[in-house]
Amino acid sequence: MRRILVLIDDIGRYSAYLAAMLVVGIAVLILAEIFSRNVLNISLSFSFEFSAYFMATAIFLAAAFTMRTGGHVRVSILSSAVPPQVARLVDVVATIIGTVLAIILAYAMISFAWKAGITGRTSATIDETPLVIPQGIMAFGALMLALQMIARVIRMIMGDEVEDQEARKTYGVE
Amino acid sequence: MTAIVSTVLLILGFTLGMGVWVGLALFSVGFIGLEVFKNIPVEKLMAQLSWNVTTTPELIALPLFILMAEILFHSHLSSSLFTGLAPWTMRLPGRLLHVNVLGCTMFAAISGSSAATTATVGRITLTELFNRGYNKDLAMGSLAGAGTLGFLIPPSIILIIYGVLSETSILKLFIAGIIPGFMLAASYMAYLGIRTTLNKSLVPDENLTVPFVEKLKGLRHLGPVVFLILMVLGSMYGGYASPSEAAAVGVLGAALVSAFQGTMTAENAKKAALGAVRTLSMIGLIVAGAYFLSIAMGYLGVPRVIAREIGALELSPIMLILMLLAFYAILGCVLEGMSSIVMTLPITLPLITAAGFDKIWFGVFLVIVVEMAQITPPVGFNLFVIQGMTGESIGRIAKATFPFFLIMVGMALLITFVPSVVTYLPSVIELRG
Repeated sequence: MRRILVLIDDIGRYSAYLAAMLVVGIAVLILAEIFSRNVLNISLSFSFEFSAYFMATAIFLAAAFTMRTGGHVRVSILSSAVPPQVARLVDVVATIIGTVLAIILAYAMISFAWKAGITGRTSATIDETPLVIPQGIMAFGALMLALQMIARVIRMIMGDEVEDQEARKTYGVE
Repeated sequence: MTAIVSTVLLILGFTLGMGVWVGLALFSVGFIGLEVFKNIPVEKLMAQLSWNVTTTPELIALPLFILMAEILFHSHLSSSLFTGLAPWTMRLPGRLLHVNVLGCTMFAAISGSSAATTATVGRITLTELFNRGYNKDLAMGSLAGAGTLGFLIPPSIILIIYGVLSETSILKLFIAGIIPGFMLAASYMAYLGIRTTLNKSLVPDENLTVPFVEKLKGLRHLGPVVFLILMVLGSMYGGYASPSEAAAVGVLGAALVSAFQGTMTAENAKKAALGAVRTLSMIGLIVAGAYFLSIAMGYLGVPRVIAREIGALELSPIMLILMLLAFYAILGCVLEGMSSIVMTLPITLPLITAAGFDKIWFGVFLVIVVEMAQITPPVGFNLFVIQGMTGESIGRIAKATFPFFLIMVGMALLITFVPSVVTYLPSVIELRG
């Protein structure tokens, strides 16, 4: 079981690496656009369109890693006001609700991307990007978030640490 | 109708209160509300709206400004700021305490986030101030207070998100934040001056007057910050670049500064990029959830019902604003500021525009309100950041910050009664492009 959990963590982390590259890619694309427009007098049709895809996919690709490292914000007022045992129970309930929502979200994204795939929908720009590519990656990210949430539930049952505290310290501003 | 409204508010209160992650919790309300009360293909709407809002071109500035702040956080920028600013504060009552405010003000002009501003500036100033024997509470309070300028002085992450959700020009919002931002900074400095004049023991008795020539030489340390400000704000206000493009220029500038200072190691680059996507993902999920929530609430008629209820109270516009101020201050105690804005916007924005307020003005008002939320316990990001750096209790930090909280309340009241503080600049600056 733990091997599966570690696998989910690993996929989530590599997805986050990819997301990090996409964010750097946004900067490169926009800089290329500025250079091309001001120096070569040619506006790159794809720079803003692709940047937008990079942003949307990066948000979802990094979602699982962010969950694992405690980066998504939540209201902690209740769990900090009650005794530790009750707080644990509250965390279990919150995790289960969150898992159900993440599964619904993943299902919604996957069927959305699926539809874009079978209808061959493309963007309404001159590049006519097949939307199944960015939407499929986004759906993959949403699926990983759902799996990471399920992993969290399992870790709670097994009594393991649910958040990667070391990574939280390394990458969080707080 | 009222049944729907109370159900929606109950679900929202329950899921958030239980500690469900905000980004996910915001989806719950729209999902259940539409499933139960309307016959709409909810999943389709959920996916389509999440896609639409996360691919909004105006939002591209968001990941870029986050990345820029992360790169600078790992550079030596904060110590350069301190070295450059410190000699100039020696003659002011309160001396080095002003470095907190001045440093945050300058850093806010290149950073869009309060937490990043507090963390970057505080890294150096807090240690220096503590070691030299400055009053701890004033040191922490002024940092927490001034750190919030990150949201108000452009660029600003909150104003980008507000601009996207309310369909307002981000550039105009940025311009509108300038005067209130500087006024707030000046008020903090005035407060520090008064407090330390009344009680001399708050500041250590050290004589560090620096010759004028040395002061001027020290200014070179501010070079990197000024360079970045010119690159980011200059390209935007010069009309050469949109906010997203200016942010990309900022990332390049930050990378150059970091490379020049020798901090652009592979390790730091990885930390910065991963730190940036972590923040981006957190904010992106909340924005997607909030956007879905706002459309769902529209379908359910929630804003209409609440507007009618509040309309029945026959509040004057000023009373309405004061009520909202109190509402957001309370909400800010339990909820992180940005979340509280994005989830309430579908209700408050129509109320405000119906009462005759300007959307740009309201954006700045909300930012000041969010800044207050950043420093109110138990949930206040700036307090967490300072707790992480000092290990002091949230209670003590919050108490130390309270005077600065009051200054912000004063600022919110000022722009309510004198709206031109906000609307003057955007109305006179002609925007090219």
